[in-house]
Amino acid sequence: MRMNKHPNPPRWAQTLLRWWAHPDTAEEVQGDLLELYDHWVRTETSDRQGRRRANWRYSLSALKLLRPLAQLTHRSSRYADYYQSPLSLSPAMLRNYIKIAFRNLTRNKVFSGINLLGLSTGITVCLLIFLFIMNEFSVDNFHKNGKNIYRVMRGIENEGKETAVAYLSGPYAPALLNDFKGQIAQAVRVNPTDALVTSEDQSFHERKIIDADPNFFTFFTFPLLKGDPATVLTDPASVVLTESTAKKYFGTIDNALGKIVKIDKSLAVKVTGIAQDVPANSHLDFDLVVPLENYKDRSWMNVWINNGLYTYVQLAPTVSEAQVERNFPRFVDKYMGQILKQAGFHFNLSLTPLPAIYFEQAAFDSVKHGDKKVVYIFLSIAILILLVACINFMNLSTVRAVERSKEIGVRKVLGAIKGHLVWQFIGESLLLATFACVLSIGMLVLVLPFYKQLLGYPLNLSVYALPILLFLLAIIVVVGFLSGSYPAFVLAAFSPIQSLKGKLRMGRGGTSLRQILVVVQFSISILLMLGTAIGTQQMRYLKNKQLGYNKEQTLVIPIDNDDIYNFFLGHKDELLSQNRVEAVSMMSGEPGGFFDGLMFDVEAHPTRWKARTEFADFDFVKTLGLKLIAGRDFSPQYPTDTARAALINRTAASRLGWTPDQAVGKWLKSTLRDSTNRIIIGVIEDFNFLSLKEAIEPLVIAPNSDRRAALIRLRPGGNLTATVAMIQQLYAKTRPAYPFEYHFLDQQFDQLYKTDLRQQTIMSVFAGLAIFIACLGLFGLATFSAQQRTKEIGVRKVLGASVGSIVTLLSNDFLKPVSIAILIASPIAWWAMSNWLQGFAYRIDIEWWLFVLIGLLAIGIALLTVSFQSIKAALVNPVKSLRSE
Amino acid sequence: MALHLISKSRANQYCMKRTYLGEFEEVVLLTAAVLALQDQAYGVAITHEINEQTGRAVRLNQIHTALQRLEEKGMVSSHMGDPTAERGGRRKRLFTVTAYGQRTLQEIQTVRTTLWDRLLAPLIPTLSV
Repeated sequence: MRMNKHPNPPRWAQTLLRWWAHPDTAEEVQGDLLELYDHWVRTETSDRQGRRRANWRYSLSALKLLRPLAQLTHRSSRYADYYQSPLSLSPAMLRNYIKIAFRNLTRNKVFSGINLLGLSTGITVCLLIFLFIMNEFSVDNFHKNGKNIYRVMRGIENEGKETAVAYLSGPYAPALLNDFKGQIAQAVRVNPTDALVTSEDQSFHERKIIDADPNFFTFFTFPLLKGDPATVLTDPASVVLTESTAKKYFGTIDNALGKIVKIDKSLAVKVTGIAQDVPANSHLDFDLVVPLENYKDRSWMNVWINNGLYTYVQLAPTVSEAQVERNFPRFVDKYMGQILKQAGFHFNLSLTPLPAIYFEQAAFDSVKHGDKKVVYIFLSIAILILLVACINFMNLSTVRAVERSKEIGVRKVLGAIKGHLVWQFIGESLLLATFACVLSIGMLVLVLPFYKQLLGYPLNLSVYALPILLFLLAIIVVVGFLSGSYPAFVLAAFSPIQSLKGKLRMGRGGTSLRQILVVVQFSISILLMLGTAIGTQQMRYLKNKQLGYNKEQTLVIPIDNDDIYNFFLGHKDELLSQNRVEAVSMMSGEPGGFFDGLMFDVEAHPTRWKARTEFADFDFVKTLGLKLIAGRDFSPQYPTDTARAALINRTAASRLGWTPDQAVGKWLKSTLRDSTNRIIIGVIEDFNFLSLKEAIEPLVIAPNSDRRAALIRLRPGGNLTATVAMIQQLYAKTRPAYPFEYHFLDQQFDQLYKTDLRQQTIMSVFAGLAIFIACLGLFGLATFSAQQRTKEIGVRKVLGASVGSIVTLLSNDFLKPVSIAILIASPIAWWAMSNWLQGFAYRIDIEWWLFVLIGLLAIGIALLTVSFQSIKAALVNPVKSLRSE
Repeated sequence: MALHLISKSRANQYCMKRTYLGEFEEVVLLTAAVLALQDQAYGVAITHEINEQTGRAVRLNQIHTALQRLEEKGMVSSHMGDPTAERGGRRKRLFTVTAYGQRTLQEIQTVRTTLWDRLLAPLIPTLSV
C-alpha cells in the first residue's frame, strides 16, 4: 500500500497546538514540528506502522509543547520599550474598589435601601418558588429502584376519551409476573384503606392504612427503624407502624415492638417493624402497613374485573417500558377477553414511571398529586418578579452614574481602561447581589412559616440547604451580571473630559431605555394583577354559583364502617323523628364526591351508553332539594321501585334524544349491576354533582344498596352544634367502636377548590410583591428626577409656577410608561386568562371594566409613589434650591 | 591577578544574573553557534545536529525551552526567516549567538583548557568525553 505523498499529522494535535502553544513562539513551534514530522515519516520505514509512529511522536511532542496558561509577552530583545499596564487586581486596587463601593452604598441611603430591598424581596420570592418547585419535583425521588418502578394503569376508553384508572384487581400481579418472566422483576400490590385500629384499650380510626404484599419494604425504599425489610410482612399476622403512629399507640417505639393491635376489631396483628414517618414528598402515604394476605378472600383480590388495588412493577434493568406495554393487549385478552366482551368495556393497560405518578393528575386514584401547570405558572412568576427586581437595580444604578461621573473621570485619567471600570461596576453589583441574597435568607426564615401554611404542606429547609446555596450562587452571578452589565458599560463609556467638567447628562438614549424598562416592569406587574383579579373573580363565581341542589345545613357522614352503616339502616326513623332533622338519605356518592361511570343498555338504542350513576335510597331527591321536571320520585308505595325504577337528569334525557316527558316510561339497564330493566319514572333538573370544572354529565339515579355516604338535612334555624350533638348521642346509644365523623356539604364543596383557592392566594401575594418592587423602582427614579431638577423647579417657581403645575410636570414623565404598560399588559392578560378559563366548564366572561379598574389602580399607585417626591420637590422654597452651591 | 579582576568586573557589567550555563544549555548554545555559520540555527536543525553529534535522543520541546532561556539570558538573539512550503507556510526562528554568548562559550572553553593543561599526565583517550 502506497502512502500519500504528504502525510499529515493528527488533526487534533495540530488544533491543540494552534490553540494553546505559547503565543510568543506558536509559529515556529508549529513549523518546526511539521518539519520534524516530515523527517520522521521519511526516516521511518515507509510502512503504515512508521506513519503511526510518526503520528504518535508528533502528538506527544505537541502535548509537551502546550503552554495553555502562557500569556503573550513581548520578548525584551524585540520590544525594547515595553509598557506594562497597571494591575487592576492588585490588593491595593481591590481594597480601593471595595471601599468606594461601600462609601457609595452608605452615601445614598435611600437608593441603596431601595435597591437592596427590591432585589432581596425579588430573590426571596424566587427562593420560595424554587422551594416549591424543588419539592414538587422531588416527589418519589428517594426510592433506590425508582428508575425501574412503574405503576400499572388501566385505561378505560369511552366516547373517544380515556380515563386512566389506577385500581387493578388482585390477580394482575401474579399473572404479570408469570407472563412477563425476565421482563418484570418484581411486583407489589398496594391497597390504600382505612380501618378501626385498637391498641390496648384505645381505638383509632386510621385513614392511612396500606395493605401490601410482603416485599413492600424491599420494593420501595421506606426505611425501617426496627425490623428487617425483607421479612417484616412475611407473617400475615404482622403489622408495621410508622414512628409517630407507634408513639401515638405505645409511647415509644421500643415499647411498640412485639405488641398486638387489632384491626377492625377482628384481625389481631403483631407489631414486627417500625418505619420512618413517610416523607411529605411521597405519593404513597401510610401510617400502618398490613400484609395483604389477610384479605385474600375479598372479591377484589380474585375477580379480574373489580376495582381493587394499585399494582407496581419493577422492570429488569435492560427492559424498556414500551417492550412490556407492547404485550399488554394480548395479556388483557388472555385473562379478561370474555368478560370484557360481555360488559362492553375495553381496557388498555399501560405503565406510568414512578416519578410521573405524582403529576398524573387525571388518573383516578387516591394518592397525592401535583399539577405541572401550576409548577410552570409559578416558575414564570418567579422569573418575572426577578426581572422586575433586576430592572430596578439597573435603572437605579444607571441613574446614579451621573453622581459618579467624577470618580469615573479621575479613574480614567489615572490610567483605568474601560475593562477595569466595567469590572469594577459589575463587581459592585455582584457585591450588592450577595448582600441581597444574605438579606433574603433572613426574610425566607421569617416568611417560611406563613408560606408553609399557604402551601398546605411542610417544607424541610435542611434538605434543600445545598440546592438553595447553589441557587443563591446562581442568582448572584445572573443578577450581578444581568443587572450590573448595563450600568457598567454606560458608566465605563463616559468621556473623562466631560465627566470631569461635570457637564455630564444622561443622553436621550439612556432616558428612553430607562422608560422602556419601566414599561416592562409595570407590564409585568399589571399582568400579574389582572391574572389575580380574574382568577379571584372566577373562584368567587364558582363558590356562589347556584348548584341546583341545597348545600346549606346539610351534614355529610361518610359510611366507611359497619357501625355507622347499621346506625343509618336501623335508626333512620328515629333520626327523622327529631324535629330538627328534615331529611335523611343514604347514597353511593354525595355531590362533589365520587360517581361511578357505568355502561347502560337503553331502549331503542343499539349501542351501549355511558352515564354516571348514583345508587341512592328513596329520599335522595328530597334531601338534596332537587327539582323534578317530569314523572314522579321514588316512592315506598311502589315496592318494585327498588329493582325496577330509575331517575335520570335532564342532560341524560337530552343525550338520549328525548324530551323529559318522552323519557318517562322508557327503560334502561346497567350492564354490570342490574338483572332486569329499569323503567325511567322521572326526570330531574340538572344539578352540579361534580366539580364545576366539569360540565354536567348524564346521571342515572337508581335505588341500590351501595352505600358510601349519608346526608342529613337539617331544618333552617336553631342551634347547629346542639343538633349535631343530639345526632351524636343517638349514634352513641348503639355502642359503636367507630367515632362519629361528619362534615358539612358546603365545606366539602369548598374542599374541591381548595388547591385553586390556595394558589389564588399565593398568586395575589406575589402580584402584590411585584407591584411593590416596581413601585420601589419608580420611587427611586422619581427621587432622582426631583433631585436633578431642583434648580429647574426653583426657577419655575420664581417665575410663577404653582405647586400643582410642578407636580403635574414631574408626574407626567412617569405616567406615560405606566399607561403604555397598561396597553401592553391588558391584551396579554386577556389572552392568558381566557386560556385558563377554558379549563372550567362554568366560567365568567372577562369584562372590560376590570381592565379599566386595574389600569386606574396601577396609575393610582404609580401616581402616589411619584407624587410623594414631586410634591416634596414642588414645596421647597425656591430660595433654598437656587442658593445651593 | 589583574586579568582575573578585569574578567570578573566585565562579567558583572554584562549580566546582572549569574552567568551560569547548564550542560545542556551549553551544548545547545554551541550547536547554535556552529549552525549559525550556515544561517541554519533553528529548532529542528539544532535537534538533528545534537542527535547526530552526541547520540542523545533530545526532543524538540527541550530544545525550544533551552533556546528560550538562552534568549532570556541574552546569549542568543533571534529573527524570523522566510516561510517555506515544507513547514506549512510558517517561518523559522533563526538564532544567532550574541557577543555575550560567544564570550561565555569562550570562557567556558578557557576554563576547561586551563584545567586540561594542568593535568600533567593526560588521561587515556578512551576516558575523555
